[in-house]
Amino acid sequence: MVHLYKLLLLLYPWAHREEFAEEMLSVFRQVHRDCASLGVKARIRFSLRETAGLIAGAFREHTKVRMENLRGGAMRMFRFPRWTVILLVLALLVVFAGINILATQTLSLVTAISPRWAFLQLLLAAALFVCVLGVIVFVLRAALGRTCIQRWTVAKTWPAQDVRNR
Amino acid sequence: MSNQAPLTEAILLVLLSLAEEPRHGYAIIKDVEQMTTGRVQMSTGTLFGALQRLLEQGWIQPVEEEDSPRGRRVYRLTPVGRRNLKHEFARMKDLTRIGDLRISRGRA
Repeated sequence: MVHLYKLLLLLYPWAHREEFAEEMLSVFRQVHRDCASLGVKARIRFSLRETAGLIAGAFREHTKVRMENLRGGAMRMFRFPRWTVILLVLALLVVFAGINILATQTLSLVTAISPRWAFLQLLLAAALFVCVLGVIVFVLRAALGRTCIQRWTVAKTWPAQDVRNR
Repeated sequence: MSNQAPLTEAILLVLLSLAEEPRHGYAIIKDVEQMTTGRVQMSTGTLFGALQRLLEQGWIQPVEEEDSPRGRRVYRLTPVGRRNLKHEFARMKDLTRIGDLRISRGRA
């Protein structure tokens, strides 16, 4: 159980581990020793409680670090230029146009008299759908790229070396 | 304090434990268990999450002891922590009073 505990401690952010891991392990060893004299049910309950507590705690700490990063750094990088609005409107127009074209194609397929051309039309509609989807993805990526949202995805937590050198 | 979000039960129990005397992690877990007659058995993850939050807010502080090993730090309540704990209890007392009044007035 102690080995599992040490392993689960690795889930915590580095700074938290540096500050509390040794102490947490020490307290855990003492509580674990107390539990040794208890029944199997109590020991299982203890193991589950500790595991759940560690996982929830690690999640909470990571969330806290992320939120601090967002509040402290990335929010200042955020900008929303006019071109982004234009690109997003363009993306919206492409979506509407795509839906309209696809609806027309489907309708013509349904009403097609000759089944010989139906397959060709289906292929055409599929190709059109892929093209429209490609354009939407491209425009959205370009628009979001301009808002610096992509920087959030590459935002790193405090590098461990920096913390160590403090 | 008035803008402070209500404290979680874990944090409140840690504060109550430290209100009596400075304690280390294991002693807090045992005291909380005793205080709640076994209802609350705090995990180490929960305890150290609460301790970290309280340290950051300056409500508790580690007691500087030269011979104290790092794995057995003792924590104590700061004057700010004690004041905030008192405020929290005043808020809870008020809430309990209102609750009692409303429940006794209400019709089943």
